[in-house]
Amino acid sequence: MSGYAELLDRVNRVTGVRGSMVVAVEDGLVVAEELMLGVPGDAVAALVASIFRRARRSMSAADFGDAAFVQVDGEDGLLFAAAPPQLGDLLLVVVAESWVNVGLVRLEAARVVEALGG
Amino acid sequence: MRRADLAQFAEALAHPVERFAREAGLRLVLLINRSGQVLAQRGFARALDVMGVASLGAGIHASSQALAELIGEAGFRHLHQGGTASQVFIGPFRTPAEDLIAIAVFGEDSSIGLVQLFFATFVAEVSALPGWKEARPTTDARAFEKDLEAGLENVFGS
Repeated sequence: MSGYAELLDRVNRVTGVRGSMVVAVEDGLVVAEELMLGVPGDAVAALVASIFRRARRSMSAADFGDAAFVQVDGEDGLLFAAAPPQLGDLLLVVVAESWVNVGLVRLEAARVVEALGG
Repeated sequence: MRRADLAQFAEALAHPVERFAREAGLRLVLLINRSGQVLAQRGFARALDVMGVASLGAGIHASSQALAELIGEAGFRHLHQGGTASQVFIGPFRTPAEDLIAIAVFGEDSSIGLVQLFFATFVAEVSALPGWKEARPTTDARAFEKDLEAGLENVFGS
């Protein structure tokens, strides 16, 4: 199993996660994905990458350094994107139910990302 | 094919083009048909720029079509050229009456992923317009030039 596939597989094991992707920040294109049927991966990737780029610019304008994490809560679901330095110019994007334990997802992702970087 | 009812039809195209530009964060958009007629544009200030982009875009599309056929493909879905500050997307698509080419220029406010995403919506919207009837075949190079001029007059006025 490739590094990215392992990362996505581990994240997807958390209850409430409907899928996850590795996305190129600048292009908004999917690099790797593991999504449940019905999740529009390409659209989510393009839009979340766009949100993340803007967040990154805002953080930079405020002189707060680089953006590391963006979360968007909806009534019926939740999107989040993380840009750990180990992934370079890539984002980890997670699509989940609104009741998901985000802390657990982040922890799981951090573990695998750390292993990838090492 | 060239359109005989260009003025009226261009009006119907204005809304989808405007929406595509706004949603995908485009700097410039140009919609031409294969005979070089400019059907719609957004962001261009001068007719000369439109003429240049239309001619070059149509040329790039024709070359890539030839390349696609050479390697056994019916055609490419789209072309993307990435620069430092600006990128170009050339997306050919079919409508019930003729083939069109959308040429979009975007910068760091957008991405190829976003452009692809909203291009699909744009194609569906344009293809569903009710005005796909009044078109006539372009016969030669002179007609091509005439069509290009007619399109420019239509979007910028004579």
